[in-house]
Amino acid sequence: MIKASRLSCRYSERAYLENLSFHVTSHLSILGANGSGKSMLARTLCGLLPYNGTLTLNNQELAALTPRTIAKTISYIPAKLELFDSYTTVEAFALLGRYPYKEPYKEYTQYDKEKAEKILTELGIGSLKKQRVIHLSSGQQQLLLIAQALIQSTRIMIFDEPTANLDPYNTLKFAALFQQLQHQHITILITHDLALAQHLQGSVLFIQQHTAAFYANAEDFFDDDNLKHCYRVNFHPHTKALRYE
Amino acid sequence: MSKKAILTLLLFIACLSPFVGTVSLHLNDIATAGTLSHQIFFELRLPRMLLAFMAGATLALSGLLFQTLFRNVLMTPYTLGISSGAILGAGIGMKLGWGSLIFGIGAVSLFGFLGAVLTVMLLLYLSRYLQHDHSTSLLLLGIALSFFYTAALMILYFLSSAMEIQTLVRFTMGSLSTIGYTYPAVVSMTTLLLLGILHVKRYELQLFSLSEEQARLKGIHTEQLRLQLLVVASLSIGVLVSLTGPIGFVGLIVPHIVRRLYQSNISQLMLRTFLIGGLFLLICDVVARTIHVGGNLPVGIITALLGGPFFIYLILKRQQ
Repeated sequence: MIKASRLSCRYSERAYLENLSFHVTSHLSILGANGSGKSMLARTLCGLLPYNGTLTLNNQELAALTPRTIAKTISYIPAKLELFDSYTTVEAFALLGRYPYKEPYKEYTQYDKEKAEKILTELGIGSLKKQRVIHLSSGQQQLLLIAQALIQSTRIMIFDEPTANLDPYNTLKFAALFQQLQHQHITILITHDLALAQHLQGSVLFIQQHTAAFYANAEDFFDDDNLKHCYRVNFHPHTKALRYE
Repeated sequence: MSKKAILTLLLFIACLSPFVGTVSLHLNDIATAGTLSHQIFFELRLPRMLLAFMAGATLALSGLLFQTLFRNVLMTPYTLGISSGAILGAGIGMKLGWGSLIFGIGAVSLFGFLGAVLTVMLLLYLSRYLQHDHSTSLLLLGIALSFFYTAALMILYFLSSAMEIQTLVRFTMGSLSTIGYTYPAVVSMTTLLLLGILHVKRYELQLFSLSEEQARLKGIHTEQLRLQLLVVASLSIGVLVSLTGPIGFVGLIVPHIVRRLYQSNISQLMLRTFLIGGLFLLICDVVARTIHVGGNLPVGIITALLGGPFFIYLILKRQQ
């Protein structure tokens, strides 16, 4: 469980957040305009950025935890897969999810390898394991990132704009997968996809002007008036699709 | 050609290398102590062979390290200005002319070492002010430093006598000539240290090759590890450059060749890079010693002649 109270973080002169208080026990969608600091908040929650105030992970202050302990509890799925080494295969990439559990100076164990293979198969990309990661489609890369996070077997999963690079079909597939993950994981989702956020329910944190402008459950947030107030544009009442007028 | 065939051929040439040179050796005499052939073989050719191998391995491994750590294929001790730093240091050491020796080490070498190490520290310090994904900016910093060093070196040239300039130019060209086993032994130690730490940290480096953030998210103390690796790398480069002068392009070419040859991810490449880097420079050195134009060609010229076109090829290839 993540609990933040009077949390502030700063990345640069212009990029900062102040006085955020929230807690995540099942699902939280983080919404807000471009550049409002959503990703910065996610990276703070993963222990990548310094902060002020209190931020606890399972009742322990995040700043006091080692990177390895955090890595066993939180996984972060970036919007896009980054790779310098173009010869990395799918199975090698997936196996990196076991790094937090690997004994220093030792190889990955048979258990690690089996776990990685099992999850790749469960996500339907087991047949691609010998392929190079750069040869996968965006949808498959997204699945691979999720696979790596699942192989990391953390209680909390943070997704940073997961559907930004996906076509409608893969977005739907992702939403279905996400709902399955929600059964066993605490999930945090950063997105601009309002329909997705509404579909997933849970709570919503809307960031505006460097702080939480709205924090409550999804139902209240997706009230038409509130939505219009937050985003200053009109939406279709049911689909939450943008109205071009 | 298969990988094994390439490796066998390289090893074969390597084994022949001590028999090649301006003076032809009498095979029967080599085993007999006291003969000229014996002396040349054991006091000049074998140590040189060892030095060439270890120098190539250091340059290739540090190239692989820099490229992985900063996720940029153009990162090498050369492009980051570390070699230029060593040259400038050596130049200053020579100009100060503090006798020939400080603690038994030539002042030129000592200052060369300082130049390399200080450059790495300066780069590390400056990189703290760079934004989150900073590999391109770091490369630009390295290039800017190179220009600065070169300009400073020009001033040194300007102030130096013809003889001093000649010494400096000799150093700048890089040379693997050595007498006895002191240089090869020192370089072997730092090279094996570098190989050891890269091998131990191979999975950490594989994570670094995704992104620094990913490495951290998987539980690595990234700053600590990066510092550790860079200290060892700059130590071994500093030692090497101070003894042999700068030898370019090995650090750029070899990691690419190895990667293309074995097509496996970085964690599997450490020992292979060590081996192929060593053999590559060893063979370049054989070529340099075979071509005789009023004295032996410095090996740096051969590696740069091979490396220049390869660099261009690489840039064009990346465009596609």
